[in-house]
Amino acid sequence: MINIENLTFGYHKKQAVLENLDLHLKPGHIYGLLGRNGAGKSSLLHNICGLLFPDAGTCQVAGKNPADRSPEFLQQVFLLPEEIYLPNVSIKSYLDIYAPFYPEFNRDLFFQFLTEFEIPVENKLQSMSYGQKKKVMISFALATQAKVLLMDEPTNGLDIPSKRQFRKIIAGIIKEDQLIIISTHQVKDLDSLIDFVLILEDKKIILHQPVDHITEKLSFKQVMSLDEIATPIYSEGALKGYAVVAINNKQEHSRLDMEMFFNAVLTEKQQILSQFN
Amino acid sequence: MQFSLHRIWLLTRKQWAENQQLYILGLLAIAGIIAATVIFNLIGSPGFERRVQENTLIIGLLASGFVFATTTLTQLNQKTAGINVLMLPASALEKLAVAAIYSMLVFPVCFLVVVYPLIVIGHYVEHDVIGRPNSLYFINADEKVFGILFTFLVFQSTALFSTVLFKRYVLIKGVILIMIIFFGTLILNPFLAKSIIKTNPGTPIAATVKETYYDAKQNIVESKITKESLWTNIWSATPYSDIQINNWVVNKKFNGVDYVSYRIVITNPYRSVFILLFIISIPFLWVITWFRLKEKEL
Repeated sequence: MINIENLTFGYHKKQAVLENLDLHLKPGHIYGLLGRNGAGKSSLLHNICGLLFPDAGTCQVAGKNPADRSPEFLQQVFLLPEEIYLPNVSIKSYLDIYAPFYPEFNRDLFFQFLTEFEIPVENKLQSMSYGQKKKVMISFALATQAKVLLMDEPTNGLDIPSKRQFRKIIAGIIKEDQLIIISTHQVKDLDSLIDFVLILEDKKIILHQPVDHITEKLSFKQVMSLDEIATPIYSEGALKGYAVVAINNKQEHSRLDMEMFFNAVLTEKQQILSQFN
Repeated sequence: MQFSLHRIWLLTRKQWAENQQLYILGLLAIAGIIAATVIFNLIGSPGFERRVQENTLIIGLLASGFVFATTTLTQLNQKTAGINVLMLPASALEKLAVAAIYSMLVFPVCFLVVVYPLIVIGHYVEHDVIGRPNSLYFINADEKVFGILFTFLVFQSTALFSTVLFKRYVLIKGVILIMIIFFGTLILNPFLAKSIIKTNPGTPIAATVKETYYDAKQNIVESKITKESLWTNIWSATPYSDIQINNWVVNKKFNGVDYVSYRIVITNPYRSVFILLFIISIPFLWVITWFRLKEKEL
């Protein structure tokens, strides 16, 4: 569904943010895009949706060139940016204005999500809090039923119950012909949701693995002493002992700690990546 | 190139729904400024005469129209709002068409509906209350109105182009752009005029001249084509008028009678070039605005 080959992009000619980046994503999955600040996550999302154009390489999304920004393409690809713009109208007016642009828009679904997020429908958008606006936009984005949904820090501004609600909604909505990319720093909010991990580092996607495969190769444990682990790769001091990422020699099942994993990749890059090559 | 009337309608509706408050307040503000101008002229001398009415209407339309047009695509210059515009499922051509509809059709109609009645009231007060006999300005479908129409379209097209060309201070930079085009044309004019026709060469030029001799009763005595040695001087050559090349007082003797010609003027249809450029600039500006909008990145 998304095929990117040798993509190079930079805001200035001599300063590439993304360089010779390759990425092939299939529908039916939720991808978590992780990376440091300034690594180019938003730039990558913006290249995918046609807001930015590659300096070199090719980018095909749903069989189309995003840079053309054709109406058919824009009906299929929805970007939920980190900072959102909402006009000074009521939710109902917003729906009347924007929903007709999306042929697959499902109004019932939109109102269902608003109810789940506990947003009053009569409210004017400008009088809402940032978190409430974000929930309206998340509801709208999901109700468009776009084939490609790009979410840049979607849980920023959401309170704890809303984050749980968000995970529940996203997990229940994805269809086989849909693809969701969630770019986030708040990995703990989403680690139960994501089924593929993408790590953007050094201007490239350095890791592209399903969660199952990561937990098959690595184990994530809490131990009192590092001596308890035969092959630790990365550890962090925890309240009770250590949180450890180790090579999963015994094929034990553990739950992926996305934040630990991300930190491990950044600090022990070669060791971690060698497990997947 | 994708164009759907349905999406044009959706975009038109969206523009109105999101900006109706601003537009209504803007029109009220324009009405207030025009009303103040009318009152100022009524209490002053020479009063609210036809020429003042015309200037109030035309300058008001051009100035406020330009300001309005710079706001129609201004969201593109703010990142969050710009994403909303660019990601909306409609083509760049459709988005530009709606901006053009609002700035070149909806705005002037609303402006005339609000402002012309104020001019009529001003004229009524001037004529019937104060008692100064002035005529009411009325828009006739003559050459002048087409001039105003094309000037308005050039202004609006330049304003739209400015919104996609400049990221900040769109209005100020747009006005500067208009000034550069206006004064640039004036400065370039003498060079253009001289490149079109050789004038003031310093020596007489050989020309084929049709000479017609008249008697005192304006009857033709003789008409012939002859070679003459003539001095040429530009008499008039401004960008939007014709070049006139004249010869003053040419003396001739024919059949023993002295003949004198007074101002002889040859008119070169010089202004056609400028009028053509002026009209062509409108679709040209639309096309480059469309390309800029298509290639806009955020």
